[in-house]
Amino acid sequence: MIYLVAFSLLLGSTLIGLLVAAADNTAFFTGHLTLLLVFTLATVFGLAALIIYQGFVLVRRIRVGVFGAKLTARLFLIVGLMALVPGMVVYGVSVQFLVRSIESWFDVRMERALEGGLALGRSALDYVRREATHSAEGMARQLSDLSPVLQVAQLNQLRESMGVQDVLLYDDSGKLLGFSSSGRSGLLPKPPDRGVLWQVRMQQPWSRLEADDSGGINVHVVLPVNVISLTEHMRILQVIQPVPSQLAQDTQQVESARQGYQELLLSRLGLKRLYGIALTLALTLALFSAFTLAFVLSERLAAPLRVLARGTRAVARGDFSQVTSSHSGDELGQLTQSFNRMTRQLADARAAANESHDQLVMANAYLEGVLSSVTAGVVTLNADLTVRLANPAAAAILAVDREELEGRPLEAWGGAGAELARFAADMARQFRDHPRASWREQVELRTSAGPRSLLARGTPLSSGEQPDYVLVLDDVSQLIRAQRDAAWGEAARRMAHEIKNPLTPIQLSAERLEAKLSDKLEDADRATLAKATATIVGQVAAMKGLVDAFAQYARLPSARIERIDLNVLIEEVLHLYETSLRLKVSLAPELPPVAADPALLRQVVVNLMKNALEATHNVSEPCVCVRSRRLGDRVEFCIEDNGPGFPVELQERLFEPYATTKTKGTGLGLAVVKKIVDEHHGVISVESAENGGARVCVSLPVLEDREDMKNA
Amino acid sequence: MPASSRREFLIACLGLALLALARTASAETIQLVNADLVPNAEFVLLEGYFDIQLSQTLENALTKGVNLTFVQEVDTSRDRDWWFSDTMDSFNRSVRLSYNALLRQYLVTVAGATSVHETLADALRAAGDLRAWQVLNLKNLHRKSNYRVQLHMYLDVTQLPKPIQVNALASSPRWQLDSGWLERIFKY
Repeated sequence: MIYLVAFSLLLGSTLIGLLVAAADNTAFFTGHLTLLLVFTLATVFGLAALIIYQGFVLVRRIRVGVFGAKLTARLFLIVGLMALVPGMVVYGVSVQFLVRSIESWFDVRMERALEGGLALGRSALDYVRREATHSAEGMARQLSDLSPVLQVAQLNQLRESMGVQDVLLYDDSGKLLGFSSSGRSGLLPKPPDRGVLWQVRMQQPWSRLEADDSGGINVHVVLPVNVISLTEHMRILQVIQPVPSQLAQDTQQVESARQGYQELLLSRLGLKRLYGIALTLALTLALFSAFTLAFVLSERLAAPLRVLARGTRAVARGDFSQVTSSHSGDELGQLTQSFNRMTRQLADARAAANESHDQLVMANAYLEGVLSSVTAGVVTLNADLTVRLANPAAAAILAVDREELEGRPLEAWGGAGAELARFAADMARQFRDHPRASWREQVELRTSAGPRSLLARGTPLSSGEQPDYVLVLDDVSQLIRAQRDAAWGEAARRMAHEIKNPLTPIQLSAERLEAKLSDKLEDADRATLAKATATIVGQVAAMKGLVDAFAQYARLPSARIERIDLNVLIEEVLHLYETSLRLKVSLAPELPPVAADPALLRQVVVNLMKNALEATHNVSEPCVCVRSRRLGDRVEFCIEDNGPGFPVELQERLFEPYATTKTKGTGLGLAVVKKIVDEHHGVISVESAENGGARVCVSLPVLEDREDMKNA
Repeated sequence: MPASSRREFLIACLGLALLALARTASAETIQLVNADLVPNAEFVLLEGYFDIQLSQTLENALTKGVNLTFVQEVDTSRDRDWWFSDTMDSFNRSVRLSYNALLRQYLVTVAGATSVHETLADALRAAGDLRAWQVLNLKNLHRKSNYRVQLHMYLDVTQLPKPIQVNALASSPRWQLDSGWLERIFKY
């Protein structure tokens, strides 16, 4: 760009110099003026086009949104205006001045003076011509008086008497007869033209002023010399007389001055044009260099700004790479350095933030891991009792999805009137009652996965005015049941022990009474004794059985796990009942094996069948339905009867000892079943069948392979 | 820039742009009245004259002392049957027409020889005369060939004073005098 400016400045000054030289009308550049003018105008238009192009480039950059383009444009305009205004003023003044000064060269008085001088010169020359003609006429007259022979001889004398320079005498055909000259050159002057001779033969004298090569002016006069003699032809006299040299010189000077003036007058328009073009070129050159320098300078100014803008955008994107700092020590350089410092600090801060964020994420993940591995359900709540977090255990305990808990107010848990809603309302009430204190409550909750005993503990997380809360739910159903089972086992064991001990003496004593006394009594009394003794022995045996059952419940033998095909086992047991009632059996084929103690599992099936059988005792068409199926990684078998079913109030405690509806039996059947199933990691569930009867389903985990069996 | 000089400037630009067109489109006020190729013993002579009519502007310039330089140009070539014609020679000579206001004489200078004329018509006649120009040398000619002699006369604007050249460029029709190329054929 700078080179372009330098080049155009050089070119422009050369062109201006050439144009001015051309205006001087020197021989230089002759014949190439057209080329020069065309070239100059092309340069002017080229420079103007370059200015327009720069403007166009700027406008396009602004449209595209190149950073710094507006600054460039502003500088461009400012510098342009700064150049344009004075440039136009100087240009206008110059053009005006030029026109005025060229016009001032021309003056009416001057012109008149020159014309007057010319007229004066002409009349002076005419006078000389008339004088010469007069002398020549006198000579012609004298010659005509002489005889033709003497004419040539007298020629020199006549010339000297008349004071003329050259005298020539021709005959009528133009042949030279005589010549007399005072000139030193001795050259023969040019003879008159044919036309002149012809005119003179017609008796018309001819005279003319002629300029010679040395700057002098000569008067040529050609006259007829009439001869009196009829035999002779006429002669023709040519007289050449120089105009006085001073006069010739002066008149010629006047003429040349007038000619120069007139030429100048003619060419003033061209001069104005030439100077106008030169001035226009100078103006466009000045404007172009100003605009281009503005362009270049503003580009230079904007370049570090553009770098900074790029850096800012990079920072916005998160790229903290350093901006190449310009080494200039000015404010822009300082700005760049400050920017770099800021970027570095930002990068450091960002790194620190990232690190702490990572730590936070790790801590969160850690907490999450802890919370999800905890078996207790943990629910955190805002001060307005909106749930923030609920861990998977909480969702499992409440038997709902986490999504149904998190983000909702506590009161909005579950549907209207649902068990969960009642529980949540209870919790909310507790939190409201103890806003700044911990509390605990044991709650019974019927979930879709069965009834649960929950220990709920509420704790405010801080001691502030509006603390967040944490609700910890512990499923204590298992614990309570285990405690109850343990208590029952202990009771049964003790009872068996305490009751069993006196039974044998009672039986022995009764038998001994009968043996000792039967002989001594009357027949009637003996019969009574025998009957009473039999009753005592029988009841003692029954009591022994009862106590054995208790003992069995209290001390179930430890399971010996084997690989068992459930279908085979069920079929074996059902074989015993085939005759006694109507059985509907649907066993799924190809059931996977389960790991179980065959004796215990058989007892489970027997107990359940017995229950079903007893339940259908009073039914007109007793029907028991047995089926097995695979449920995912578990195997389930169900025994369903069409009896009266379980009463609702008993359902919670079905598996506890002595929870029975039957008049007969120990009330331990289901309790034993439950205990065995629990030992096999199975699940037992009791529900009402569609026909009103009871359905008991037991599901056991599938034995995956032999390895599992060995481990178990 | 005052309006008048701006207009002149614009006219100058326009004139430059139209220069090429104007060269051919200008009114041809130089006309070839007659031209004959006359062989003599040694040469073929071109005889005849151009009728030159000066525009008012040119006549005015002449009487104010501007010298007008005309150029007469001759190109000769030989026709060939199966190829482009064979260019032979080209000559040109300049004819200067000037006016001496003091003596009220028109001067015509051709090849160093000056003739003096009382009237403009005489001077123009003298300037347009071809003066038996030797254009072909018989020694160089082939028998039974056609020779083309092309003839051209114009006012040489570049010989005018430079400021006037600018005017001539700006208002070319008034300053352009050009006969265009004319052709005569000589059969040998």
